[in-house]
Amino acid sequence: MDKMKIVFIANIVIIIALIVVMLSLKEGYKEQAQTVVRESTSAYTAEINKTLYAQGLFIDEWNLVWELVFESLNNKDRCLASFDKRVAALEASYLANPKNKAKLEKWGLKELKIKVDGKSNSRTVSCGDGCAVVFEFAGTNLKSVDYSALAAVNLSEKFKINQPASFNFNAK
Amino acid sequence: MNFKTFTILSIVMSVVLLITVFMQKGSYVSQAKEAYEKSTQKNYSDASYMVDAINTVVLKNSLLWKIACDASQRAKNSRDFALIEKQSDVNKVLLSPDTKTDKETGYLTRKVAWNSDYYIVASFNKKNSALVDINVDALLGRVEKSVEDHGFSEEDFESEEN
Repeated sequence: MDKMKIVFIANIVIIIALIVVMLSLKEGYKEQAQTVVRESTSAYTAEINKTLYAQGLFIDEWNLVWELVFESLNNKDRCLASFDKRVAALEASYLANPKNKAKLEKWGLKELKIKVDGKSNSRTVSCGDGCAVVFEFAGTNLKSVDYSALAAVNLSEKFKINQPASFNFNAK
Repeated sequence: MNFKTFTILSIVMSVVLLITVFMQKGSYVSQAKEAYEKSTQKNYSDASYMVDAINTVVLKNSLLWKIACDASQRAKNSRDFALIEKQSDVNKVLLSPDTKTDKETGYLTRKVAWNSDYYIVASFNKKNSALVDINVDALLGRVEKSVEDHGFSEEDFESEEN
């Protein structure tokens, strides 16, 4: 067999091998592409949902605290015991709304509690990082409410959506 | 065509095949990248719009809540109320207040809003010498129309997870 024939036969073998390699890699790449797009996209969607849930939860808490402040200032019954009852009533009223119940379920919560730190003649209601409303009582009657932190809440840095991460074909 | 030509053609073919083997990954990567970016960019812009819109609602509703609470303690008539409004609205986000007399009660009402969905309504007695009530139902979502009516909602993103 002359050299030319050997080169030709060897080359045919290489061509067949390359076709086999190409076809098998093609399936692998296709599967990898579909998987990585699906997983990366849903990871980003989950990240967005996390922010939306946190924002939704914060807003419901924030609204409840404002309602508590407003009712405490406007109700003729300004005693401490009534304040504590009002907190419980607002929580119960929130829970009684089916729309709120559905939201709580989505957030993985059973109820929404107003975070109250009680002292003998004051109540501090927390509404997130660095935000607190202080209810001062003189004797048992409401003397003053400091809601300046609640009114100054600015969520633009607290809740924002980050740009999606750069695409990584080899992401696990 | 002689045998030599066949051999040369087969060598060219194997080189072409070799190049294709190396190039095909790039094609899948660029297609996948395009699909990922198209989907995530849409989610990013929709979600950013929604989160920013809600942040703005909170910021502006804070102002209405503050006016309602300040007025509950200090306003005796609509003039006091207007002064509290003016002092609180440093960024001029509020619309011109809508004042009228309630036909049933005869009370003077003052509606303060920053858009048609979010407002408070203060009522003063006939002589405008006492604040009778401040209605904050719109801030508590107890009237029709809410933040979620912006054309898309959290559910839009959830459905895309499936």
